[in-house]
Amino acid sequence: MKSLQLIKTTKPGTRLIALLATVALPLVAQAEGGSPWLPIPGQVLLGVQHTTQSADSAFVGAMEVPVRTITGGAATAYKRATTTVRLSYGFSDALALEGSVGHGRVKVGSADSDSGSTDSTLGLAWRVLDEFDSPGAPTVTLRALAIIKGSYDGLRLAALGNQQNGVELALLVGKQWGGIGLWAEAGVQDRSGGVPNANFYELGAKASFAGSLSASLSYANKKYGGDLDIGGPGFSPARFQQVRAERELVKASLGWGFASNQGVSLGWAQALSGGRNTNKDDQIVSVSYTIGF
Amino acid sequence: MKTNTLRRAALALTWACTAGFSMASGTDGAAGAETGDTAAYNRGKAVFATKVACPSCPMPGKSLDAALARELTAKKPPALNADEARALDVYLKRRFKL
Repeated sequence: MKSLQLIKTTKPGTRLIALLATVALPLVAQAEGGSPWLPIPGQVLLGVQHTTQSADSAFVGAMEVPVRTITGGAATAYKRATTTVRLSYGFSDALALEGSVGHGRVKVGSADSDSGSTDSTLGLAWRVLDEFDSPGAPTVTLRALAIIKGSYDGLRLAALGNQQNGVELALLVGKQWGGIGLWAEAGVQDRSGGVPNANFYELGAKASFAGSLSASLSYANKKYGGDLDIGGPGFSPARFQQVRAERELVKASLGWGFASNQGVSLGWAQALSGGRNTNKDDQIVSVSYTIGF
Repeated sequence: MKTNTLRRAALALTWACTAGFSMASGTDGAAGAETGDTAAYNRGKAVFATKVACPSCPMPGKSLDAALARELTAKKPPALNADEARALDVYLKRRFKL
């Protein structure tokens, strides 16, 4: 509370200087959230997804603070929109190519805004165990991706990512029973530039019904290493990339494969309480369209 | 006084930066959409394993190859409903490029 009082009494001029300082380094989303079940062999899948999200509070360390307070009244919410194009190709029943590129736009009221290409990914997914070839076993897939930094300016308040290259390794496990499927994913991300490694996992369930409809529900958790908090002991603006960020999301989606080679989905997600050094999204809404060739 | 001003400035800077930092940690969008054939392909694999080649099925333990796939697409196995038959058909044809 003492910190809150201090920020409220900071002079407007000081706030302006602070807002103009270009030192913020966000941690951009990557490809976690994939599926252990690979695309059809020989098929190219091209997907477009548009995601909008907003938050009116954030976690400074573990303390939730309104955006209005953080920005000294210059903004009441973060708003971000991202369009991502995903490409996958099934080399075989057990090996697939995966890639993504995107463009994002972020606006923090009158405090700052930016746009540019988001970080891209490119890599392979290898299914090492097939539940249908080995009765009783789950499907197990390994995924390795390169993370290629985007064109945005990472050294500003409204940054779209941390502007660092890296790699992502993940293990995905899934099992289907009729129209019901359960899956789990666990992985790590290693980036350059002093960004601590991130660990993430997601647990989900999916149901298919009426032939072409599906619904899913999942819980996602991501944590960056270290013990540095924003504003905590040892912190300085130059160490923004090294802070310990933690985030939990609950996600739900509805899908409709309305043609043999096309499908659409509507997704919703929300940040849960208990985050650390991240924003607390009130609503994340995404729409997707996929076409196969 | 000077110390307080510097402290406030540092705090404001810290919190201002939080806005940018906190924008993007974690994957935010849901999984991409699935096409009809992608869903059918995976369902078809399950149908083959549980309705065609399981121990109590018409072809217990049968290994799947292109010849068997042609046979199964030419003559639908018994005891499959329409959805299962379609899913199996998609799986066999796409897997073996029939």
